[in-house]
Amino acid sequence: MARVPQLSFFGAGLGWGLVYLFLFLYRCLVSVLGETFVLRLTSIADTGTYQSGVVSEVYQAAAQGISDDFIGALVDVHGGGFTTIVTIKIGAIFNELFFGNPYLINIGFQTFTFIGLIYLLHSTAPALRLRLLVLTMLPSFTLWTSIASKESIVAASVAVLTAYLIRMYDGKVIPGLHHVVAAIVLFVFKPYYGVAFAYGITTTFVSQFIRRKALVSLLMGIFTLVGLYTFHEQFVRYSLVVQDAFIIATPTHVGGWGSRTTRTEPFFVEDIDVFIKAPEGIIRAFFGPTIPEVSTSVLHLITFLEGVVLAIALAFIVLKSIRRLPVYNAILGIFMAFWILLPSYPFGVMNPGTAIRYRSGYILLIIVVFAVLMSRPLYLNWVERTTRRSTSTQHVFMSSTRI
Amino acid sequence: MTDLKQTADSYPSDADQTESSHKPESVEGVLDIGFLAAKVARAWWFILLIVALGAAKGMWNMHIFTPMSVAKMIVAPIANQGDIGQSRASVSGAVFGILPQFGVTTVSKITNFDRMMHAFSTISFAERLQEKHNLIQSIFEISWEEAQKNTTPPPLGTFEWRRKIDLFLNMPTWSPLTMEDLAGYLSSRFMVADVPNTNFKEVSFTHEDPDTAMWFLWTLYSEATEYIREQDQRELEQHREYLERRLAATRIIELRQALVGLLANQARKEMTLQKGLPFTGRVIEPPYVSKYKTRPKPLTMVGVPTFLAFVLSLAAVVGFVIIRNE
Repeated sequence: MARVPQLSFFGAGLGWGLVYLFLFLYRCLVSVLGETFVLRLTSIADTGTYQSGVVSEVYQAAAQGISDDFIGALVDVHGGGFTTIVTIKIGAIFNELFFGNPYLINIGFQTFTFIGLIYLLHSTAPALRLRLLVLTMLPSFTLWTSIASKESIVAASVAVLTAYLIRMYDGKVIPGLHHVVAAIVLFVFKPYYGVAFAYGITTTFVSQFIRRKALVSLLMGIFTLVGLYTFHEQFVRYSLVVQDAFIIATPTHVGGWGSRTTRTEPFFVEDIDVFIKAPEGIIRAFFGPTIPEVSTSVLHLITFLEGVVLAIALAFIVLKSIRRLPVYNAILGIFMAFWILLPSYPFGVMNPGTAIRYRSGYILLIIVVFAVLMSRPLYLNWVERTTRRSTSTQHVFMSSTRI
Repeated sequence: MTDLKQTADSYPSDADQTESSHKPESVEGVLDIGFLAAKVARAWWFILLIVALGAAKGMWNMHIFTPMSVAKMIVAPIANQGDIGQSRASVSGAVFGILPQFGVTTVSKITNFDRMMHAFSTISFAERLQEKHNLIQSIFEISWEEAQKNTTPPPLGTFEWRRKIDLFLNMPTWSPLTMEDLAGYLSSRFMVADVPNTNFKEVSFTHEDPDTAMWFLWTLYSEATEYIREQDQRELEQHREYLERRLAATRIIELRQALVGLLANQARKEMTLQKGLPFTGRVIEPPYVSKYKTRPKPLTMVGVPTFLAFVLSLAAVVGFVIIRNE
């Protein structure tokens, strides 16, 4: 059995428990700084609403609609009414618990993500854990998931589901209740993340029974692309609706929708732009501010630099081991990254602030894909386990036949 | 927690993670990127060939692209004058404020220009044009009478299987020609764009033949204007009849005065609806055919098939290598 390594800090061993405590304190500190400084620099009406826990008149109609047609409200991808009210209700509980103190309410929300992160980190091989820890401590991700926001809930769900994916490579295929709950929460909050997870989990599940794993992952990926082709009209309509929401939308909404930093020129002019401009849109949605926009605000500069650092770090991790990377992992990673970035990018092309905010929701999956799943040892370990299992099954079968 | 501990323990240690040192004995012939890249590089000629074919297809698409002539004119949309229910401060506004209670509703933000633009996609306007100008014959090269009789899909020969697939997937297939097709044709060819830094609009119509483009632009513009004008005239007539009925039935002097005022207002509006006066927009620049025809978009027409050819050929090579070597 391999020993769980300790982190060394100036020669002194540092247990992971202490590291997690440090992570919690760091996230609390960012939460406090965010409430004190950042929320004063940029207007985020949502956080105040969630902290107050009061379903205002704006959402009364949505609340009524949910009680009238719960299933309809659940599958309403663009309405957002249900998720907003759920988040407000959670805010109301924290408001009651923490006597309305916004700092403590934020810390309450950040605890969701913290728990998800701990579970994710603990599910990762110790050698890769530190790398994952560092990447999940990036400022904007920490900020957006450390305040009263939907992102804190979404990031927690993504963390639990990605942890499940990693655990599948450790032979733990049957999902636990917490995985199912995370999947339901994610379906409600971000249904468009579903394809990436469905592809990743299904491919991993099917591949463990089949020797030609790379071929399976490739065929499954092509199958998803056929789905995209079949439903391309719906995807175009969905992208245009998202864009219209930014152009027309209420100016009071979160640091994005209709705010002063919203780009005035529509990104999608013709229907085909949704696909042709996808590479540019994905880059925009990942980095947030463009180079000319960097000079307009300190926040833009920081978030842009953060995006650059993250991209370089991920590229370095992948390139370092690209030659010996199993093709299976490469195909799985590419398709998962594609399926999380493609449906998410229409939300990030119209406003740099919103791009960063929405990136906080899916970035964990990107980090895990590039920093954990694209790993040769992970693959070898998995193949060894599945091979051993099938060999022992064969052996038992042979013995029983002989008897 | 025990579960978590087990998970952590069962992973390879730091030493195990070093890629050169660790390779389980039972695992042989892992297909990795280095091997795949070498194999793909050997098939460069195939990828290049497919990419060249994709690019050639794109260039052929550009070659067979038919440049269209664009007839244009600049129009200043007219703000709606004395719309019903527009001014709530006036007596007439106050009286018309009660109209919704009688089932009469008005929308004051929509201009006549907007209504004209919308008219191009309406079936009733298409029917009117068909009656006056027999457009179906000139556009679809089939008379309306023949089109009405022609309800069976034409044979597609070798493409019959595509229709079957479309039918299976509930995708749109051939349907008999209707006025909806004419309305769709007109609305797709008649375009409106903002003139930068002004409130003017550039209206244009595209067609292969410059004279036809010019004819369509002016005919459609003037017909649509007349269509809207006639709609308003009918509506005003109904309003006037209503007001006259109310006037005949009302005995309260103040209300009668208000109704008389409204009738006078109606008369003024009727005057603005007279033929010859600008109604939807003032023509700033008369129609002309631009010397610049529509042109193909290289990025879409060549770039997309080239890129697709690259991706597909790469996927084919990768798939082949995986099948052969995994």
